[in-house]
Amino acid sequence: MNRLGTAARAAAVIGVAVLALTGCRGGRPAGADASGPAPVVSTGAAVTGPASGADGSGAGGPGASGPGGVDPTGIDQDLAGLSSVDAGIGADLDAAASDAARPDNS
Amino acid sequence: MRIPIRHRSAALAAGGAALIAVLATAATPALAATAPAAVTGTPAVSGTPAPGTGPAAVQKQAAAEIAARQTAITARLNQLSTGGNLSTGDKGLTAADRQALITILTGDRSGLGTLGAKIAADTDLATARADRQKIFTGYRVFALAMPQVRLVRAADALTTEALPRLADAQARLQAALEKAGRSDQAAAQLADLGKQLDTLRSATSGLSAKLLAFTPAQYDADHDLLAPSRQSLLSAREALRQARADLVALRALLHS
Repeated sequence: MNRLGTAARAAAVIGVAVLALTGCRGGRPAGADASGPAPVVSTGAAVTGPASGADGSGAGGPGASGPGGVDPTGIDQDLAGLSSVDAGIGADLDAAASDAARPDNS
Repeated sequence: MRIPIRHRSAALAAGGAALIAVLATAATPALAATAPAAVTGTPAVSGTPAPGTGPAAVQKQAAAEIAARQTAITARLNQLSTGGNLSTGDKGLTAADRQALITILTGDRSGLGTLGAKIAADTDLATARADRQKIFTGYRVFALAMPQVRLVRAADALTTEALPRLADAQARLQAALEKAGRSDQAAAQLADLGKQLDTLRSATSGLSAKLLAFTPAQYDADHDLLAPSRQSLLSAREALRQARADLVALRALLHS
């Protein structure tokens, strides 16, 4: 009985030591903190990366959020540029009218 | 001495530049003595001095009117020069048109200086009055030269910025819509975009050159000289806005 008890205690001690060394205290190791993949966007829609690690147990990365939609045709930039041109032309027309409308108009 | 009246010959302007500079320099003290201390571009009250007054009153008024115009011209030249908001950093004006405007304004400023010296030396009222009228009829600084700068810039912005960008966007969107199999749905919008581009091209074709060629003499003969050009710019601007709306609609169709 004593021999069996000693063996059991020894086995328990070894087991705890092994677990301590592997960092797994009675459970599975935590999953890697997986970041979502870079967004692959072709339609302009925002794409969100997967939210968790591969084994499902980790906290998971936040996922990669798209920048709100990538514009593959560059139209957004064109629209902004055209707005700027439009505003400049408006300012020019107003200034020209203002000069021509001076009281002495000469 | 014949007072130089503004014209559009760069060669003649350059040829007379040295003489004008000397005369303008000589005229400056006389003008400074009679001009208001701070002229900010707004001329003193304009009008014809009361009958019975001597040339001195006309001379004083003319000096203020000339100073106001020279100040306004200098301010506009500063805008066109390096660092100014109409300088080479501004994409609206082409380099050639910017230089043409600088030549016009520089010639006006010098010519007005020469005219000021002539008026200051006039000894009789009738001559002073006649010379004073040349401040307006010979230069039309506020009625023509100043608006010219702005209208030419607007025309250039439409032709050198808006049109290429719109045409490029049209081509890219058309290709993307074809690739997405949406060409049929986009047909009407694409057709309208093409129509607006045609309107824009037509309204601005040769417009800046036409504006630059206007002279004070033409303005004196027709005070509505700039109206058709202004109308062309308004039409072009409307086409630009409609074309932009087409781009927005086509983009939405592509992404739907």
